[in-house]
Amino acid sequence: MSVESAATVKSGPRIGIPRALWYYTFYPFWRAFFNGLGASLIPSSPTTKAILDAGILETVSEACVPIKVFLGHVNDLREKWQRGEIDMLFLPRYVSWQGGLIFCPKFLGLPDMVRYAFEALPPLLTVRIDRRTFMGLWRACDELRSRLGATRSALVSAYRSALRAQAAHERRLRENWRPTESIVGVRRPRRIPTENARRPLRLAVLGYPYLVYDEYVSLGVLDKLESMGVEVVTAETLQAQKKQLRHPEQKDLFWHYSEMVKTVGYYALSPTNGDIDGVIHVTAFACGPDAMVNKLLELEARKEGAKPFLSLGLDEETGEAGCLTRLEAFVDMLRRNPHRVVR
Amino acid sequence: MAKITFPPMGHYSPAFATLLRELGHEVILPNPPTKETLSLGTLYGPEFACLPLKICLGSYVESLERGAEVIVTSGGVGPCRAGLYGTVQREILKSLGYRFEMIVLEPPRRHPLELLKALHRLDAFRRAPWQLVNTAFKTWEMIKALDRLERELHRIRPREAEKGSAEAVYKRGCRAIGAQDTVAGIRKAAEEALADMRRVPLDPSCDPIKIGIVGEIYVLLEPAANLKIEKTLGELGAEVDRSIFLTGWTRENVVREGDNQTAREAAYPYLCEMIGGHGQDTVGHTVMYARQGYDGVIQLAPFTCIPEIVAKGVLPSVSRDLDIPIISFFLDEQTGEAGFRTRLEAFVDLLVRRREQRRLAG
Repeated sequence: MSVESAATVKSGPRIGIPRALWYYTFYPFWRAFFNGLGASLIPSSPTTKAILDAGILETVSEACVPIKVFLGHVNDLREKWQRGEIDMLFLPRYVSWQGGLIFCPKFLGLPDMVRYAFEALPPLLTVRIDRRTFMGLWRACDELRSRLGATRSALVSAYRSALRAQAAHERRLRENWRPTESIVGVRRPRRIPTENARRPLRLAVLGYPYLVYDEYVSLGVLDKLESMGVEVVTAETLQAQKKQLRHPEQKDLFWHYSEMVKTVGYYALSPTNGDIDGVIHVTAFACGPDAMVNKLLELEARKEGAKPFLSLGLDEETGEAGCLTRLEAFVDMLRRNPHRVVR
Repeated sequence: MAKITFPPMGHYSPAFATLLRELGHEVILPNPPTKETLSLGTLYGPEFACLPLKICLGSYVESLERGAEVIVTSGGVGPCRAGLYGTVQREILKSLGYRFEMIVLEPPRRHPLELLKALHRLDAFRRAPWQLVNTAFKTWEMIKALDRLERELHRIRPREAEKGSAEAVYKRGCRAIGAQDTVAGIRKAAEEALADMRRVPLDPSCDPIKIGIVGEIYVLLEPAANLKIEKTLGELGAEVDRSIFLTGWTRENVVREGDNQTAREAAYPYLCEMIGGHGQDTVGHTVMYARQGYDGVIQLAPFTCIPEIVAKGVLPSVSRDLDIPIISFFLDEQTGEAGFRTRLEAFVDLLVRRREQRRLAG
């Protein structure tokens, strides 16, 4: 919080950013970038029932929960704007961040969906981010700079500090920080009790960051597991094992987050990796890409010697008790497994 | 020479079969998908995959049971999921214990090598180049003929004096075209079928409303997926124009009539990003139908289809700006025929009344 409140003291434009979808992966980049240009970045409030309900109201009914959550956050920022707390709304069109990979079509059409869902919106700060093109990110940033009326010289330093902030963020994620912790820069201490000389259960919780790290939508699945004495690793952390991650015969998925979850999932499920006891795939109801990812992981989990696999589907109707029961059952099952490797 | 099959897609099966047969393969023609086909696909496929994946998967299972050894299908590079269907279906069928080979034809620009490899697997290069050209030409001619006949059917059906007569002529024509194996034969069969179609007695008092159908290509082209929407609408007295045919015939037609605009350009003010599938085309065709004075537009899409969901989010503003009624249907294995029909009837009634009111208002 300290960083944010320090930033608001400045007199530059106050830019709202929805706390949803790409927020968890890219917020540090944009914070450093806009601060470097003398603007401040203000995220919407963390997801609540009211935010989700507002999102459900404004979104086409067929859309997935993450999109509904996103529109809920846009609505939250719209209200902030009406109260005079922000000046504009940052709504980039994420097309591609890594060469060859694109984002889900819903990300691609997001600014259009937002524009047509609301009547009165704050001035939109949109830009197309496509790093497949030559210097795509730089040019996108330059466009944002000119929209904010900042100087070219400020751009260079802002861009560099943004890249640095992004690299630091990704490094912390690989070291098993949560994005929320990495964003405020303080890591909450974790104490996992050891059970009679056995090492604690270690579960891979895989899924898209906007689902896994949104405590309201994911029903706090990470915290729930930790309170059961389970050590949790997420997809971002497991990506550090990049070399072992390639699956030889599969065609690559072409979506940014799905490719990450799939490759990491294959690694986590494989019998050869000794330190993961089970895999939980967190997926949103009616998520298009996940229909593919989940099926591929499910087929992989059926192979000889693969790690136990739980697919946890979430939507706006998911009850907390039911979710907890499933997690407890899965953890209990793993605890009773006599073949579990002892450290 | 292998026993080869391919995904079912509307009335195009004879054309694809001709193509593969000319390459020297024995073809297992996919059966027209039925409820059982879809049940198989739903059983084995991912729950939230869209209808096309499930129908194709079910159809593959049926064809493999009938002895197919090779499956040819299309690939893709996203952002639509269809590009991965080959991969996912192969893994699913493998896990079911079927032994087969899957040949995925990838788009040439991003995966030129893979496409060449796939064509090599299909024995395409054992033939002399002119034979290949001839085969391709023949297939194209057949697709064109089938499309022309279907367009004519859409025009005649709402006007026919006796319900079902145009459909009968159409079916006979399709069979005749499918049985040809020379370009001249195909052209002749097509002309004869078209002439037959034009001889269907019409009801002179009929004044059908015009409805444009937009949406995802597979559910538009496969009657098993769209519950024969064109037939239902035709019988309700609506002339249907489908925005997508394999030949892109419509597109040319529309371009010629309009101000030389493509669907993508028409969509630009509303949806400027290529979001995969036919999302942009859906919006663009809707804009074009509105400008051409159609009475209404129906959007058809499989449930969970990502690009069409984005399109649906944008369509209400097209409807408002250009004053055209739009209804969206998201279809899946749960869609009931009766409910679907009721909604279509209501929509048609609404359009008829709306047209009457406008005529009265002058």
